[in-house]
Amino acid sequence: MLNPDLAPGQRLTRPGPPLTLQAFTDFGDLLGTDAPVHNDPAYAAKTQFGSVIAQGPLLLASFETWFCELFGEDAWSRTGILTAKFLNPARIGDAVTLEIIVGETFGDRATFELRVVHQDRVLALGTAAISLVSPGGA
Amino acid sequence: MRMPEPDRRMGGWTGVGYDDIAVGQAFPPQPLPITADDVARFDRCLGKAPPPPSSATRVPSFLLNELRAMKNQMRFPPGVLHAQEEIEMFSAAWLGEPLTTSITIANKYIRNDKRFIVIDQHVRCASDQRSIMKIRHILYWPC
Repeated sequence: MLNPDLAPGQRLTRPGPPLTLQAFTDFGDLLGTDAPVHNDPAYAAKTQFGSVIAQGPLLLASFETWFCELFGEDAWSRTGILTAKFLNPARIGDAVTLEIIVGETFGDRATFELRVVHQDRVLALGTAAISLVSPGGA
Repeated sequence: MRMPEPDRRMGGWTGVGYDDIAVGQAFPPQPLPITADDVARFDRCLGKAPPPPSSATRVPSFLLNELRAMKNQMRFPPGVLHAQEEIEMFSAAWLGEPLTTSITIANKYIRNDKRFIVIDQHVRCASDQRSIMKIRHILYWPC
């Protein structure tokens, strides 16, 4: 494993971002994910969701910070890969938890499974990979 | 293939419909300006205390994983939702660098009676054409 503190099968957890209307509104404004289902409670109440919901990428964004802490900004910025599917919506006040399950390492490439959960509901599932290779080569 | 019924649960008909989206359509690079205030606001969304801005501030990749550029080209119908995201990093973007994003409609398909549009974005630094990251958005398209 590229980080000596990690071992395959190890499960790491940490709280996800605070889910507030302000966060949904700001995130939407910054990224163009500003549909009213994310920032207009009156509109969202009439949808199938019944309330405003978080943007999926807001649930994933903190994984980047986490990988940078584990492996460094340089490794993430040059070699990071992240893929995720959104399975269930997150709502204001949901206390979401981020999980990284350490996978196998193939050469210089470490792999991970990712989960975003709220209580017993899985909100997003994904994978990630990162390498530690010097910019000049292997 | 049988077309699913339009999903109008989140609003009436506006925007570009599934049938009118052309796979392979590419849009020219668009500027992707990011300010120190944007980085600070983004950090606050994640519950982080923003660091003091400087030219050594790395732009978070998820701040570049955006849909504004696509929405400048195409009006989305109400009810578009993220189904899947894929990002691949190549180099860091630093605050103040002139970034651009190029967009291609990579695919569209119907699965489990639902419409999906696949949008690829490539973020580069305009000053040296360095690749920053590639993004694939798979969006649920309601109608």
